[in-house]
Amino acid sequence: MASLALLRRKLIITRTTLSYSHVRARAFSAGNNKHRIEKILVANRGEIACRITRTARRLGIQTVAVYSDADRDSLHVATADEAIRIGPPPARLSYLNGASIVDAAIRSGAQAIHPGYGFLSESADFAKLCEESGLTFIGPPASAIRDMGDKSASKRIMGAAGVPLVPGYHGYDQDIEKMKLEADRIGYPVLIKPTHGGGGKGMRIVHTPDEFVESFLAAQREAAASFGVNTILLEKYITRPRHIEVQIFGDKHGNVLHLYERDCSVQRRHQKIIEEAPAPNISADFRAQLGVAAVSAAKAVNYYNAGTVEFIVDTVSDEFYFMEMNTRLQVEHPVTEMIVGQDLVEWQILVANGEALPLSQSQVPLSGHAFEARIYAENVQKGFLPATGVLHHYHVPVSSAVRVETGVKEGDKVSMHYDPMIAKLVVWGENRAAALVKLKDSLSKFQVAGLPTNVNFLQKLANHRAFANGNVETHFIDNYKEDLFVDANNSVSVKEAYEAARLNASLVAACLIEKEHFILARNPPGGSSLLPIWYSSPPFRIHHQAKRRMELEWDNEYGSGSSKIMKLTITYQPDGRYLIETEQNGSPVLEVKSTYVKDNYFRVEAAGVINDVNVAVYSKDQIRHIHIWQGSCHHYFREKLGLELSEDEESQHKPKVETSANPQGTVVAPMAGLVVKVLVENKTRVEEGQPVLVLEAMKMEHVVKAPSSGYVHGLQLMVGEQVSDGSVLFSVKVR
Amino acid sequence: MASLALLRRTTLSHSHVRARAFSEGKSSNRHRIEKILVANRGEIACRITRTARRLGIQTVAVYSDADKDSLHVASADKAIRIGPPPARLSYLNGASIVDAAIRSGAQAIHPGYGFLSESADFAKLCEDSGLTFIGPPASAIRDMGDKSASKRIMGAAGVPLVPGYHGDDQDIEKMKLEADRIGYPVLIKPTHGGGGKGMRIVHAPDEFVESFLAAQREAAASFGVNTILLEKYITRPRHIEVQIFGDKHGNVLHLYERDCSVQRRHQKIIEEAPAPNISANFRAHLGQAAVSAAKAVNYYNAGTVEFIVDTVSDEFFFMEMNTRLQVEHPVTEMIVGQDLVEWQILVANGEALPLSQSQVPLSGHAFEARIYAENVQKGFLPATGVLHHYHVPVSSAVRVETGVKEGDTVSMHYDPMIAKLVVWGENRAAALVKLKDSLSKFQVAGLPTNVHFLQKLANHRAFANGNVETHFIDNYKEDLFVDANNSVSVKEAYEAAGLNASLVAACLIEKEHFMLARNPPGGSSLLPIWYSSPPFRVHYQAKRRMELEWDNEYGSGSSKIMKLTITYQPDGRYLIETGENGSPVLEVKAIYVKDNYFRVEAGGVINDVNVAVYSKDQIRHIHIWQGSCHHYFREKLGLKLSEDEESQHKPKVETSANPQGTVVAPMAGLVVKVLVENKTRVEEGQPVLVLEAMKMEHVVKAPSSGYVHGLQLAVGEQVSDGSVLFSVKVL
Repeated sequence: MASLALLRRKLIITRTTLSYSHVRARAFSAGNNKHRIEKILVANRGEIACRITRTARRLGIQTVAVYSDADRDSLHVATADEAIRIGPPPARLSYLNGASIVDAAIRSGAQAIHPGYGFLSESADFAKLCEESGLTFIGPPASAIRDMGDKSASKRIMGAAGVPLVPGYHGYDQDIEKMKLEADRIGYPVLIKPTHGGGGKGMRIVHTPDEFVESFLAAQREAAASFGVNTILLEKYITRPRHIEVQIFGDKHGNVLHLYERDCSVQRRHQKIIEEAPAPNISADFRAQLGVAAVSAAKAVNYYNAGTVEFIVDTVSDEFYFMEMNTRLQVEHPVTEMIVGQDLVEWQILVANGEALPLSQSQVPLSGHAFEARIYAENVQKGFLPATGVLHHYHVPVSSAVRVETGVKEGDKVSMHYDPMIAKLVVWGENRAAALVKLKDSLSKFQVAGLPTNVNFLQKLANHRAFANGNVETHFIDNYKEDLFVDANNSVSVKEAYEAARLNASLVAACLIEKEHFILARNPPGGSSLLPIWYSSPPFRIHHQAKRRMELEWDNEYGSGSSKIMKLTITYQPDGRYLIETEQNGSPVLEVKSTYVKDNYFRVEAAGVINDVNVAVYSKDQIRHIHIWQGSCHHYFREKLGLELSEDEESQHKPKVETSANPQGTVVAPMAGLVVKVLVENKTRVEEGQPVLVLEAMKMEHVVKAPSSGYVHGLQLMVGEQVSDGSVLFSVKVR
Repeated sequence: MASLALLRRTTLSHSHVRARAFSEGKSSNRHRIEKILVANRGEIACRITRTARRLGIQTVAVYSDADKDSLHVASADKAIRIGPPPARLSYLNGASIVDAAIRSGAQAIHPGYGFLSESADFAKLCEDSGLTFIGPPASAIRDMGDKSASKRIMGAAGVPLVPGYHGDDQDIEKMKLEADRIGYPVLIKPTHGGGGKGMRIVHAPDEFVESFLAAQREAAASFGVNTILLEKYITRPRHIEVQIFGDKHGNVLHLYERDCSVQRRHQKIIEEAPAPNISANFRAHLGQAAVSAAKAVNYYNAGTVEFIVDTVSDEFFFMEMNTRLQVEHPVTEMIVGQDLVEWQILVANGEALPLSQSQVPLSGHAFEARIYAENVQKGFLPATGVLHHYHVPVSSAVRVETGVKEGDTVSMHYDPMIAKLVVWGENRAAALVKLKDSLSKFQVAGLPTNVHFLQKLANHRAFANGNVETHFIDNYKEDLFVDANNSVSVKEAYEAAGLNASLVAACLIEKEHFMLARNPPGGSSLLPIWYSSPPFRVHYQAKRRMELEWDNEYGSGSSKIMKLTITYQPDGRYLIETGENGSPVLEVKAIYVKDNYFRVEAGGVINDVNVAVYSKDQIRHIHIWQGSCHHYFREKLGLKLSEDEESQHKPKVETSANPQGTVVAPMAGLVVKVLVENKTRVEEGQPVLVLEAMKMEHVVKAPSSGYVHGLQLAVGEQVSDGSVLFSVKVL
């Protein structure tokens, strides 16, 4: 966990200003008549709960965590002073159960509840329930949450306040024909969006009139599942948009100010993945106009506490329009904190205590540039599908200018019940270029093993020339998908990827064997060993120039589903180096020297270059899973246990049993999830690409389509059934 | 130990000013200070050493035999023994200290507070020996040390004074006449020294003589001088003191004020800066008066001008000037962002002050709570003992200044202050939240402290409103002290203790299991205490019994036995029943984290729990901290029984309590006076003995009328806490 030294330092500078103490003195005399907050219940989980707890602790405020059964052993529970169970895993029975949370607050003696983001953070009913129960809701007034939560109402209010709006329809008439007519009036392409909620859930882009009905109904279902309300609004879809949002803060004395803007244009599936502050390539004048508009928006609803006004900028016309106001602390608030040197959670708490904002608009500093990259447990190759699994290895970079906000620790399991975000990687630099250097470096040092993540994808994103130039927009990923995603037809890239994997496989072999020797030197075979994994075969150093063989399986991301077996022969040299040959005709022999440093860390010399290498190993299902990080490369290999052979045992080699792969035409679940719709009956004929099933996980729907034309076989699933990642759903055969 | 990062960082913004000060500074003809001898002990010695070290200055500690293994000795670069435990033979032995400084090659001596810090003779001895005394000139110490002389000087300088008598004529009849003239109530006070020692309030003329003589004795014991001054006693006073600093170039400035009104036995216990509910105008007036006071005696280095504010008339009067660094200086440091010890050293080096008056910043609010080893229930009597467990909260806005570490013994020879807990917040309310939180995390086991009392104080509504005055504790004693007649409070206290007793049982057993898993019985065990009975997990639903003794603070001297039956459940939880009829069974799950730290789930709530255990006299002493609660239990070793051993239960032998009429020592101390002979008849409440500890006298009175028996003590004899002094019988 990164320290907040940078923030704290700037806070101290702020503290010494005389004008500050004057404002503070006035604030104190105008203090809220409630008791001051001394204990806060954090009504959330994961990284945001940990982050809020950290600030509360710094202020001497005690913390109460709430948890579902799935989170009993989680980091946010362990870090709080107290923790109270609120229900079973499903969110609607736990983190969305407002009554249970309020009851926990009352029982624990907390004076306030901090909702974090997501869950109940934008529930006006929950905010109202808190206040009526005598608890302070650390957020805006319920009225503002209600008005801004209704996207149609929010547009009307903003329009009246003079804040510019996107052409669209925000009426109450939700009749599908009426909505279709409105879409025609606005002009295609049209964006379909739930009126309540955010986070990209339920959004659909419709390019032509004949797609409208299907998308509209799907959006309604997602809205109901996520937010409990299914009303829809329509908007003109801007083809070259930028999402720029402005952080605003108000106090209960009518003061409102903005803390500059953030750019959150880089998204996938309408979900932000890299955010930055301030927005690149924005003039000071434009920045000022955005801020003024945001403050107007906040004042229009008598806003106090933290909020974010989201604007969509048409990069063609250079106009900006109000999109929505998020009435809560945003996921990406750290980038704002990094450039203004303030702790926004601390501000939230002091506003909740009835104090005036500690700074005036003219006093808000602006220093440097910050990025936030969201690290998700997801399978990028499968279309950013959520992934679950155990964090067998989890090591993150931390320094004074690098923060990692996380709610998990090594050994934790990322479940299917909640958001698959593992961490937020936040970096600060004196300018955008300097911050980007840190972002790339930090991503290369971000080590996760045990489940797929988007780290590699983020690295490509950060390294892209267009991103470096600040040309960020919502469709960035689509526009540059040829650069960001692998192309199996590019033979040069295929070859390069293979060479890189082969090199790392060799390094893995050298490191594993070297660590075996190191451990052996410390624990003679006679003593009990704590590392059985290392002794899957007897040590072979006793043989002069003894040889050892290793087979590593590597998933080539270029081929769909195929994996490659790398056969390595390792020969130990008297000078301590290893000669490593691969079974590739004509490939050169690689000479490697490996030194074990500590934990998973090695220093490796190969082809005249010395590098830091990290190797993480864990066993599962009779397979040894091996991850290696070297520079900006990360490779994942599998080795079947019990398969290693020495030369003198070659005669006993058993013929390899081919693993039973799924036959052609079989469809497996791309992610763990819930079946929400079965569109086709078993034995029915389908066309290639025809939707067969709809799965839901983390409130996102995924349509499973027929891979080819033919007849559906083995489809026995029912609505409401849970399926696991990789399980067989059905198959399609020619008859 | 809290870092001084806050202080260090803000001083960077003054590097320009400092550079100017340095270039302008007249360098002393002595060499610059490179090594300092700290002529003190405890937290202040540690605190001075820390700053000196930060400045690259080497440090020499001095110690008595009692302090040989103390923290202040361990943290210094060098340490020199100066004598046996009694202060007058060690820390008050100026010649021995100066000799140590010369032998060690120190260029300067820092006196800290107390001991020789306000001895003009010591300051002069240092300078005469070629050593720099890090403090004001000896002349200022002498003048301000004489409370009568200081009043004359301040009066001449136009600083307002309390009506009183400061004459040299100390004849008891003359003094009594002066008291009559001033008008009762009158305060009797030693002219030399401070810290509330020797003070007496006299409400009526017939009390005057006795109090006067007692004050004289205390003054002589504390300060070696027994002259007395008299002052009008202000019934609703606030003590507000102003920190002043001067350099050797005639510059004097103030660093705002501190409020030290909350006191017990005239000793400050919570201090804060700036003073609450003070207008900027009043603050400015105080500052000006303080600077005038300092200039009147050509003051340099750190000093404090103490004013008494009559909250009825809103007038302030000069009380005294303390010519040293105050115990409570950290709260000033926290609000101005300066290191006052650093300032002291640079002034001693002959440099100019690094800031001008207009440059002194004022930011936020700070509290200091003094943690004492004392028995609040017995009237704040000093306590001694071993710090079997000592764990303190530390963060960037919380400082703990301490001179002890876990395992140390707090002895009867010196001040019983364990630590100073200092917190900063952006305003008073924010600082108070931190103060409450830090107090709840302050863990001490092995001897009684005032932490619980400080928590009540900090949580009091009047304190939160800033209504602090000297008589705060007396005025709100019904809220601050327990009332045995309040049955609701008694019941609540009992239930809270019952819950914590259950948590203790679960934690202790869980830790036994944890240790067993790591150290099989066959191997050597480093924790014999955990194996006083065999582990019982082998039995399915095995039961175990535990008897914990708890002192109910509501009953005088009585203790309660809690009998717990613990049943281990297959799911890893413990079912805990108490012997009370009808009390519900509690289901507890405990997870041992590390050291004394557990995570416990009971009644649907997971909490942090700290359990500290130590053995002494065949008894296991157990402390538990949970949230803001702290309970202390005792368990006799060898008493645990499993169900199948119940038939072998031996009848409990009643502990031999002292018979009625026996008088035991309320604290460890020295007998300074035996007022009654053995076998003499006494009346109830009649003084029989006078004990002294930490320079405070305590009168032991007859609990009832009758004849004194067993009184064999002689003046000068040492008695230990709880020892039998004498008894009173009807014949």
